[in-house]
Amino acid sequence: MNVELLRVLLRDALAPEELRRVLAEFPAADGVLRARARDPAGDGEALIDDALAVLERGSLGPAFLVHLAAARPDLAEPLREVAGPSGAPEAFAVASLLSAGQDAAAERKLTELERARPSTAGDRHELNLAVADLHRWQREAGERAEPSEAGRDAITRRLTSVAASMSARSLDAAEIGEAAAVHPEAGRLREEIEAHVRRADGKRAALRLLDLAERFAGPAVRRRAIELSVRAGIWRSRHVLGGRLEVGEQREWTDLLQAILALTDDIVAGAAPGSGGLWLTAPLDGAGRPVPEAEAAREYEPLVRAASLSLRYRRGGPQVLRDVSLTVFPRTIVGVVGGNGAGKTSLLRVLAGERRVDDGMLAYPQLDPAQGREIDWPAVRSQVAHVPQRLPQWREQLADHLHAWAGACGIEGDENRDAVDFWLERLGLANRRTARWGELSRSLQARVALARALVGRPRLLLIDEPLVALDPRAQQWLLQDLRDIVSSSSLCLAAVVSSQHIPELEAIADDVVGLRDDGGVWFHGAVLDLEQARRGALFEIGGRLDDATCDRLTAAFGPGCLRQRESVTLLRVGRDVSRGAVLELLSAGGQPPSYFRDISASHLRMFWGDRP
Amino acid sequence: MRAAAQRLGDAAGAARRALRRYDRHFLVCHLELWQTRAHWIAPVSLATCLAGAAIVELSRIDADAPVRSLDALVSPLVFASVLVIVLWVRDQRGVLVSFAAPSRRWIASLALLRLLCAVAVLLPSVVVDAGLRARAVRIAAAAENVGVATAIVHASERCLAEPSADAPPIARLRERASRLVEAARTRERGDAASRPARASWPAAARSERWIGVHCHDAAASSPNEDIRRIEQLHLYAIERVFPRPSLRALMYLLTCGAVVVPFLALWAGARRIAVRPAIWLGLFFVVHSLTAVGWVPGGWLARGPWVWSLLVVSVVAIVGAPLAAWRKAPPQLVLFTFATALIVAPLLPVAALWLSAPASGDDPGFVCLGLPSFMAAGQEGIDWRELAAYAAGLAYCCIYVVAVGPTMHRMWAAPR
Repeated sequence: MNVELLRVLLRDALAPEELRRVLAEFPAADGVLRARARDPAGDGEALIDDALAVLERGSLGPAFLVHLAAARPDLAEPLREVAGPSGAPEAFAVASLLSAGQDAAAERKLTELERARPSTAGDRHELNLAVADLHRWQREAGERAEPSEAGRDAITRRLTSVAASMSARSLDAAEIGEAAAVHPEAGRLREEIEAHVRRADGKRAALRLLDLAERFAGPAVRRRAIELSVRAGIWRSRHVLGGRLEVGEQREWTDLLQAILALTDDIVAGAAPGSGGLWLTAPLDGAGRPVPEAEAAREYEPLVRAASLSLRYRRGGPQVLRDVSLTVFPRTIVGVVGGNGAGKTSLLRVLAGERRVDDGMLAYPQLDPAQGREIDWPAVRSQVAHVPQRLPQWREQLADHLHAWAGACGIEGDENRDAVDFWLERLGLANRRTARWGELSRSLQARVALARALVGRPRLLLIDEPLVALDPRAQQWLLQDLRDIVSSSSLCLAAVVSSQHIPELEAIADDVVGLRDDGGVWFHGAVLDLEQARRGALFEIGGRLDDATCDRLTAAFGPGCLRQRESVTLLRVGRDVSRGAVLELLSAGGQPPSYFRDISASHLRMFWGDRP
Repeated sequence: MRAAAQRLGDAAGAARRALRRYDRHFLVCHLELWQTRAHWIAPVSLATCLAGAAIVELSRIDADAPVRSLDALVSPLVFASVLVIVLWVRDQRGVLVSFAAPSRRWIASLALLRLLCAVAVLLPSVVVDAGLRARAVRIAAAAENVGVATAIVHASERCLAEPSADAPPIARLRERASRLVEAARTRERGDAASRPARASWPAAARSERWIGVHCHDAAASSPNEDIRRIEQLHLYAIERVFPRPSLRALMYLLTCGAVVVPFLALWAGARRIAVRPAIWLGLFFVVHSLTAVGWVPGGWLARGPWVWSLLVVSVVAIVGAPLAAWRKAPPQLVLFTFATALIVAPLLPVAALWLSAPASGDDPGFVCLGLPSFMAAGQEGIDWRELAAYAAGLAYCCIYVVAVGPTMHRMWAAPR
């Protein structure tokens, strides 16, 4: 520690009253120093000398520097110089970023620090809760004109202390060994939960906790997870507008997040490697799909393998499906997109076993164990859940309907109750358990259909147009839930989802099949595959462009680059043209377009007659 | 008053919650019972039987219509039972079933449960009628009624002894009164000492007087109150047959439908078009049955060919369904034969019973040749052979569903 530099800093950067306050609040200071600090008549220079002597004698220098950085984040950089290489540079960096208002960078720094050094549960919780407080403060600041600076300061001190604590910590071998024994999936889920906690999204954290409990925990723990989810839901509904919390409410909120984190750790600690359903260790291809080897175990095989499917509804009728191939692996979502009448529903009905194809090969390697000449349809269809576009109605109350279906699938007694309670809470239907069909909105009916499908423990979910008639927020919730469930459920299931909401579906799908109007395949692959395969770039621009803009674009990209389609202008350019360059040209006239979207790597292109 | 209303409301709420818990227990732990509503049908049926029996036993008998007031209970019960079964069958069509291959044990338990539920729904009307009849027998055996009946018998015998008396009305009156006396004697084990004095009752004297006055009046159609009472007692205590053959047949068909229709509705599923021909075939035979017994006017073909055609269709369907499934015939054909076997074949006992017994007004010699006579001419009471025929029909429905069910389920799960 550079004592002289510190002396200069204390003398020049801190006012005497502030110096006294910092010294008085320093936890490691001895009583004498603290008493001197509190004496307003004391000499400032003498106080600095005494403080430096105490710090050097007790090797308290690094701790004091961190304490000072927390109190005065604007001094983080000079304090880092004072500390030198042996100090806690991460803590100063965090303090510096926070003082500059770069909260996202500070959070990233803390995450890197956490990953670089295995930390205890206490440290992680403290970090997560502190970052959650930060996000909460940001939300409140955004909604009120006068953000609380005192609150900000307290959060900054806390985060800096956490960073210093984590930097200084060195774990013994036993703790490191413990950390390494975590089930990778459980660890990943824990990270997601902690990320949600940091974003102060207790409800989403609770939902992921439910997924973790469903995958790795027993009924008792799942019940606890359900209780926490209920509390988070109540909390959310009471404080949806994010008003400033009272002290008691703050404590309640912190307790809730703490409980979520504690239960997460309990479940992860109990999840031995190799438990919790399938643990894919097969090699993965570029898109993250397992590559089946010649003698791969059955659990690495796909759930569905379809090749060259063709279908007409009647002899001589129009071809509904033409040479469609598809492979669905566990824990993946496959999107099926296309225009009206392209054959999306027909494809799903074929996969569900409702329609027989005229030509092609269809197999269910994991669902039909015997894999004989004829598919064992009862065995296959009992593991496939088809949620049609026209949702089936039911007469009884919602909970009774789910209990009845679970019973029909062979789930009885406490297992039946637990399964229904779990999925009602997981899909946000718990407070609608006594509702009947006609009392539910379309979005809730869609959720009920999904809950009914999941209660039956399927391996394959086929969902036809789930986003129809849902508002944008409901669409996002449903898709996010679907993504989370498919990726982490103990059922090791997969989903095939058809929709015309292409960008939303592409955001969660691992693989997309685009069907043309004639039933053939326009393109089959992930978004990345389409990105790599495309020959050019295509942009959607809202509204009609003025002549000057059209001339600019034509001059830059050549004649014929613009096409007018209904209320949208399409711009086709070379593959290497960037989005930024196009936006610059569009905005050069002083009036940027109201709507701009890059659909180069999206299946939306096929709606505009583009080729892959 | 408000507190009492509050307490009543609380009690009703507590009762509702208890019933919900009871229902939920079966839903979660015994799904077959819940789906068939057996956990509600059984206690309600039992309670209705007990309530009906209590009403019959404890109600005050109207002097003018000793048992007619009780008879008013039975018809609504019958009507309600039929309505409940029809609604219940409709409810059963919506039962949730997984695609997983069912065991025969599961199919058998479901079929048996449905059979028992149908029986439980029909039971209260039978129990109430049995109580009604037992009470009518006790009333008829009362000393006063026996005395009046005895007086009528004697007065009728004196009237019939006169050469110019027109026999039929008085003869029938005598017949009825004597049967009442016989029944009373049988009940009292023929204790002659208990027979009341002939003229000890004013009603007996009135009856004798009326018979004496109208002995030669062939057109007398309004006997006095006492004689009417005795005739009514005879009607309910001796002559009453419940259920009548037509109602017995209806009950049998409803019970068969209760077992068969839910399975057909499930396994026909989206292929209802395959089942429609079987339904039309069944209706064809039912309509011709109604024509045969005269309920629907119209000429009909000879009974023999008609019954034999029903028999042939049934046998072909019963054997053909599993054979077609084994030979991997088109699913439409297999479902059609299966549905025919379940819709048409249960009609056989009904057809055989009705057509082997001569209808009213028919020449008894027109009895169908080649078929055993299930009922003696004119008899409408339940014969053991009739019971056996119905039992065989119900057993056939259950056994056939269990035998062919797994195959039909597999076909239902297969794609169209």
